[in-house]
Amino acid sequence: MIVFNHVNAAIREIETATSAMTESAARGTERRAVSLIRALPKSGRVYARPDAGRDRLGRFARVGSVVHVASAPGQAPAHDTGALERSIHARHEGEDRWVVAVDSPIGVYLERGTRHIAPRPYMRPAYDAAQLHSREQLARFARRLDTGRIEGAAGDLGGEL
Amino acid sequence: MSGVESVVVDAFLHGLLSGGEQLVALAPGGVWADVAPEGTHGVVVLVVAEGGLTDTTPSIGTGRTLSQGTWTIKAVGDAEDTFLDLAQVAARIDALVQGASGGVDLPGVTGHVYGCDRAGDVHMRENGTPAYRHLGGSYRVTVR
Repeated sequence: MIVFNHVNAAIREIETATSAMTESAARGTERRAVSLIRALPKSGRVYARPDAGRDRLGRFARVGSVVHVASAPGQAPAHDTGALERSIHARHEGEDRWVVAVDSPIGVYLERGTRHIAPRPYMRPAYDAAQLHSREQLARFARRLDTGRIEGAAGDLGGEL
Repeated sequence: MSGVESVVVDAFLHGLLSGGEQLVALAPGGVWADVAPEGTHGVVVLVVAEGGLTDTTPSIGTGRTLSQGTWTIKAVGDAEDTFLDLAQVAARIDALVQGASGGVDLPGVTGHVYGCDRAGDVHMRENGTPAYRHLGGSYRVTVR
């Protein structure tokens, strides 16, 4: 007779692991997308900022950068005001459903390109990296279950991407 | 990130789409990488790499076994084209690309595409004037 006496514990760990991995993938995608935007160097066009060096009242007060180095086609967008990065959010939508959304109206045009502007993908590469990380986590988790170390197996998951 | 495999995919997709007579008739603006050149008129087909390739299997010796990446292939209309106008072009793109495989043997570029699987749809309207519409799909491409 074969007795499986760890089934309930394994199911509990699998449920916890699923939850942890989903959250980790969503938050990892968000972090990675932001870091791709902030990563240097960017090698696109260089723009002079006409109002750089002036404060909100128009007084001369050198603040921020005088030039903006844009991204080249194929690179992630270049950091500019930070509005794009701030608009990227991992949102928990109940159960194990997470959504990573870019609220900036220009986000989709940068990711997908337009008829005449080449794309600067940052969400897909971030998602791919998070997916790869999740696969590695899943393999580690499966190895641990396979060796019978069930209790607390899910606790190892959810690390930084 | 892999090297030449992305060029294999680009060459494969361009050959596949440019060789489709029905698609060429439906998209008189042509098949382009990333963007339609200024002055191009009519519906265009754009092929866009969505990011780097990921090596999906361990290397054997010095060779990578298989790599995967995602490409967007979409019909982009001219100013007056609606999504309905683009639907036929997008359907033709999908008929050509979904499940496609084949080799590429060009000077300096040799490889094999093992499959293209639709990963999602692309449905976008530019927020400008003109408000160009984009309709097509994202395809996961496996290449060696």
